[in-house]
Amino acid sequence: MTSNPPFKGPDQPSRALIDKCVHCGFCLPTCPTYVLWGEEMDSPRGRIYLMKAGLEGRAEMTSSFVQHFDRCLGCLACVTACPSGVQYAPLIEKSRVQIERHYQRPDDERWFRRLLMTLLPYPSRLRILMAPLLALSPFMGRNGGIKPSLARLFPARLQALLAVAPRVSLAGLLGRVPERTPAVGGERLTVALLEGCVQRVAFAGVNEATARVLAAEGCRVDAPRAQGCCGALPLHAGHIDQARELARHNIEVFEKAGVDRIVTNAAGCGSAMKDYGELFEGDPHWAERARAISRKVRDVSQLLVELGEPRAVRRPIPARVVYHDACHLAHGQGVRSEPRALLQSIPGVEVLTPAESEICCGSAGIYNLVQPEPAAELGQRKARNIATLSPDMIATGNPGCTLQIAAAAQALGHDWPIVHPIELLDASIRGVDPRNTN
Amino acid sequence: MDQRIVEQFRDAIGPEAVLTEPVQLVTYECDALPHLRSMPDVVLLPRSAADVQKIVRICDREGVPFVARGHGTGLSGGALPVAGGVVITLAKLNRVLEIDIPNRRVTVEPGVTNLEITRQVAPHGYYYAPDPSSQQVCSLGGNVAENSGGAHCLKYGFTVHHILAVEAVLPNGELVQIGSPLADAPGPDVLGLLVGSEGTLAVVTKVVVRILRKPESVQTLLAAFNSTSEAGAAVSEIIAAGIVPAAVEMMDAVAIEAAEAAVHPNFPPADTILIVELDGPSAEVAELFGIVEATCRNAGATRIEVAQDEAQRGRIWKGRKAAFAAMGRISPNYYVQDGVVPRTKLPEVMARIRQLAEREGIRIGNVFHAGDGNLHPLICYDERIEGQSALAERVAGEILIYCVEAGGSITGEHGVGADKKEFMPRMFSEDSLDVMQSVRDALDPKRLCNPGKVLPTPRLCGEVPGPYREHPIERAGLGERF
Amino acid sequence: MSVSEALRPGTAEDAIDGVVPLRVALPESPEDLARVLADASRERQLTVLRGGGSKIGWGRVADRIDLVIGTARLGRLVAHRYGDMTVTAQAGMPLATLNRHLFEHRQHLPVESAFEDATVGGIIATNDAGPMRHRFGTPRDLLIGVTLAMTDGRLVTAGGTVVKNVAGYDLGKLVSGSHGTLAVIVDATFKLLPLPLASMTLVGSYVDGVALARDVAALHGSQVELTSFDVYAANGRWVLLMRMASSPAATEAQAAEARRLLSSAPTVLSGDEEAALWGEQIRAPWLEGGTVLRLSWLPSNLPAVIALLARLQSRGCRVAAFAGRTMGAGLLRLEGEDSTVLAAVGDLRAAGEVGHVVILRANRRVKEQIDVWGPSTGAIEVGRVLKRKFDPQNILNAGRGPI
Repeated sequence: MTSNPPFKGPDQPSRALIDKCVHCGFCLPTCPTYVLWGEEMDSPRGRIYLMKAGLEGRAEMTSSFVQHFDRCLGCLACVTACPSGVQYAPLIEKSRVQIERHYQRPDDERWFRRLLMTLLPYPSRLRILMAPLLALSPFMGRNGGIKPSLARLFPARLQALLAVAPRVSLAGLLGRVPERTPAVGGERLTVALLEGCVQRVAFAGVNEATARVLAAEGCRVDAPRAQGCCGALPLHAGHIDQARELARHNIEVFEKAGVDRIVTNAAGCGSAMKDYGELFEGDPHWAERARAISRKVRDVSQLLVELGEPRAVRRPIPARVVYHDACHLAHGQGVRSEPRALLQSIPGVEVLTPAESEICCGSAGIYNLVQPEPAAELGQRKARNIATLSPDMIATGNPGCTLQIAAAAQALGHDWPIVHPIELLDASIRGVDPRNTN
Repeated sequence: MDQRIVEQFRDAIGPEAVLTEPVQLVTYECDALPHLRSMPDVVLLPRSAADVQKIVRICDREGVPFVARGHGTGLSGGALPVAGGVVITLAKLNRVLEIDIPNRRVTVEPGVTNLEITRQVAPHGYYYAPDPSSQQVCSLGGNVAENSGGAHCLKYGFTVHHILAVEAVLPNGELVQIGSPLADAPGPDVLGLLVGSEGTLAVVTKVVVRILRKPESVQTLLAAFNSTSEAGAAVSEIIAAGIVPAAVEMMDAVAIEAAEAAVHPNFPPADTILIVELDGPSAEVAELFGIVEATCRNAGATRIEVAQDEAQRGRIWKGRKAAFAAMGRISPNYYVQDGVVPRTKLPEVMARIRQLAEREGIRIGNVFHAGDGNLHPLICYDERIEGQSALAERVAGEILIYCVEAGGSITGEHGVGADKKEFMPRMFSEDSLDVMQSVRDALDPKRLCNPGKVLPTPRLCGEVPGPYREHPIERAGLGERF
Repeated sequence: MSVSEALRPGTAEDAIDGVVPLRVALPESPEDLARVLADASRERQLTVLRGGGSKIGWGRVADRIDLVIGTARLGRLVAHRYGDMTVTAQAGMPLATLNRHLFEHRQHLPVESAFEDATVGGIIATNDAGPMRHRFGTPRDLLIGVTLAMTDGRLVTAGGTVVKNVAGYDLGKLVSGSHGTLAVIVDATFKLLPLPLASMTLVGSYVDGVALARDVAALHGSQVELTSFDVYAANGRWVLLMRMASSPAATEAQAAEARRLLSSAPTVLSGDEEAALWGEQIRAPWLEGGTVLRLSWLPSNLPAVIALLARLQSRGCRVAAFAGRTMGAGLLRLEGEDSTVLAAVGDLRAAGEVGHVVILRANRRVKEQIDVWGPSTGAIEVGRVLKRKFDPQNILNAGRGPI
């Protein structure tokens, strides 16, 4: 029994949730870190066991303890595999909160993480950070990422960052999706679009395509100007107070928008917003408001399925498209068939699923920035699995995945175009070549 | 453990392969039977057979007990560490080494999962037959140790029927090849002895398995019955007709409820469901399936569903295979027991179990391999309620006694491990156990190889088997268990 | 009957490799057997076990045999649990008698022996099996429980009476193939199979092994499920025997599928004719004189094995018969001078295409010049370690058996 238990104060991992784990191990073969290293501490079962040991005072918050939680990608593949219904997401979130509050990281690590949390969830700051990337565009692959031959010139820590640096355009830096896009034809639903942070700055085209497609399918699409970050990155990194602050702001903004649905086109964001209820559990002022907003959230692919009979004519795009399941769509939201249905509605598209589709590509929020080695290994594993299918292009519903797979593909010498499924659908409706939309 | 010995391990296999921090060790203190726990002193992560040999040699020299572990999915505490000893985890020996389709054999390292073998040979139209419910995660090394079965062992046998050869490190550190890819190797079937020896005679470092041609046709049927005895009668009739199904599984109402909650297989409402699967040449399956369907109907099936495609078949099996862990959804804790009774004695033993459940006021779900009488009673309890853990354990033990009394066995597939060794004297005479001990002593005279498993050990003062119970001193925070 | 009355001097009929055992014991009960065995161990008497005596010659030559323990009086059917499809029989019960009894409930132990006198204990100790092993395996695969008599006089059990059972060490498997060197099998429990509802055998004739091997490959790669799948070559004739046994329509369908794949039309047999054919088939390699070897090969190597046999012939050793299961196990009968036969065995053991070349039947001179069992293996080495524990006085088939 230690005199210095690791978990203190509010926001601890829940004993009731931990007790759901029956230690069967079904999560192990689907956990990316167990697949890489085969060590129990870096498996969901092992991490839950550490949480339990922490709660029982049988473990201390040593650097080793922290490392095993840091190494977790938060991909939630374990949730999909678990037959006992263990809700791993709140467990890892709260464990990370405890670590951020009670563990003193080495200085350089602390500063790096603080920098990320100060910049990434704030689109205006992100614009400034990413502006210089405009100049670097000629040195990047088609989907972003500094070419490996050049990245090698930089120090190692920076290389990981440069490998996933997005290709930025002026339109992306300066422009924004229109505040209101009216429905084409009769209005079926009113929706508000979450523009995202990295998405709006680095992948403005995805937001534009989203607005166009939804409008073409009869939605009035609002993009509330006051919106900010949904809080996903800070939440998944254990900065729960920051996450709550950002969430409260967005809850107010989207309440004011007064729409039928809130649409996201980034897996992590959709997942975080659907979990707003949990984020404010027990909070008398915010709990119900949060739940009400959560109930309206849909990934764009889900919304399209919900809308029913498609209105806009899809023009053929003959292509072998490998669909990559972003973890926070597949595992986090259970959304697997809808993006495939979306792609399959385009004549000529052959939708393929790579082997080990349930295993994360290594992006996992800021994971590829703070754990570059395992992230790179996972990225290459993903790229190799994709390569065996000889695709014409990759489609995935998350900007992080796009950048991560782009980096891995570049490293292996591949040059596939990587798009968001909605971009492909948009191109099909407009009758343009999707490879020009990026 | 003496730091000198830990240093030897570090020198032998590299410091990153030697775990000594409490935070790491604690995660290895149990396998999938979490109520039996014991902290190892060191956990070792070899990457090769050579590493394993080095480790065992050091243990042999220094008198350090060792316990081999796959992915820790065993249900009898077979990988329970020994105090003062090391755990050798084979998880990093996870390569598929050779696939020889024409000769229907695959060579793998012990950390390869059971299902991975099937995945590797499926594109050629083959598969690896033994299919324990944990097959997506359980390791071949573990399967060899436990002689694992699975739902399809009724027709296809157990692991021992599908292993051609193993490479293993004996407790004295010698690396040996046991068995042969060729038939009829002369001499005693030492391979047959090793398979199922629960890691007490050697540490396996390579396995050559036999793969089978995927059957031309598979037909799966799910039948709902109003009682277990009706379902059981159906099974008897099917077998009496001279049919050997690939699998015959039964689940009772409690188990159905859990499975439904976990994986939503959409089982029809029933007191008991029967899953019967036939496989083989299309003509044979077609001919026999009709008989099976008719038999179920005549026995009183209220509903019969025939899987129309692979997806539906997958759903049915998912419901069955998730049943154990799914119990976690309807009960805070559960204890899965594993016992065997002769098939003809199933109704009588099921009745005894039902009475036991009523008498003790405890809920028991049942999943079983109806074709071969292997029961898995799932005993539900809540450890937070005073006395419930002990009650569950006692009930589990009583069920085993019913099994032995009916002429069955205390374990059909999970193994004896640490969990059931005290029940071995109910199945075997003292002389028989003594001879088994002498087998062990011949190969492991220093008693270092997974000691304390399978065979009953003389009780040490105060040592009580069963769920981990805190000593009053520990509870008071005044002391720690080493 | 007392132990001493069940003990008599050995006669010429009891000779093994021309060596007459000093005494022969025929215990009537397991306890008797255990007592005789304990006495023999205490008095360090080289002891050989005998069931029907059909395979007792398999092994090295012993200069002296002190005791033969026969199980002829331990031939009881202990229990046939037909509802559970298991049977327990004492070691001395002839396999043929056992199966005749099982047929009454439309069940069988799917093991065939070339020898009428083969007993339950004998088939386990020698892992004797016939064509049906293609589908059902050998006695070791069907064994689920055993009672053994140990050299210290104790009677012990392993396994049980249910098919699904992993409690304890599988000593039944351990004694399988041990040729009576570790312990004495007193009784055995097997899992049973239902008698097939229908059965049919196709027989194909070939001018040479090459064409036959092609057809084997074709069937091997198909979905035809055979119960027995044998090749037989003698006197320049090559024959392929394929037995399918299943439900009636299925058997017909499988036979039709097989016929389609064969290069020429086979003869089709069923019923008594079929049974008689297989009976002849399994006995054939043993009928005439010569040296009989057992050998194994990887199934895909069958063409190479056939070529190897041709080379042997060309070197002067007459390959009188080659009989085997196409899954890679079979028998060779060689005729010729001792030196030719010895050279042939040497060639076979050196050849990469075959393995586990064991001399089962040979004259004493040949057996004295070559180790019948072949090179030691990992299992044999471990077996020897176990023998030191089980048989500390080294009496059981000492010097003759594989360990």
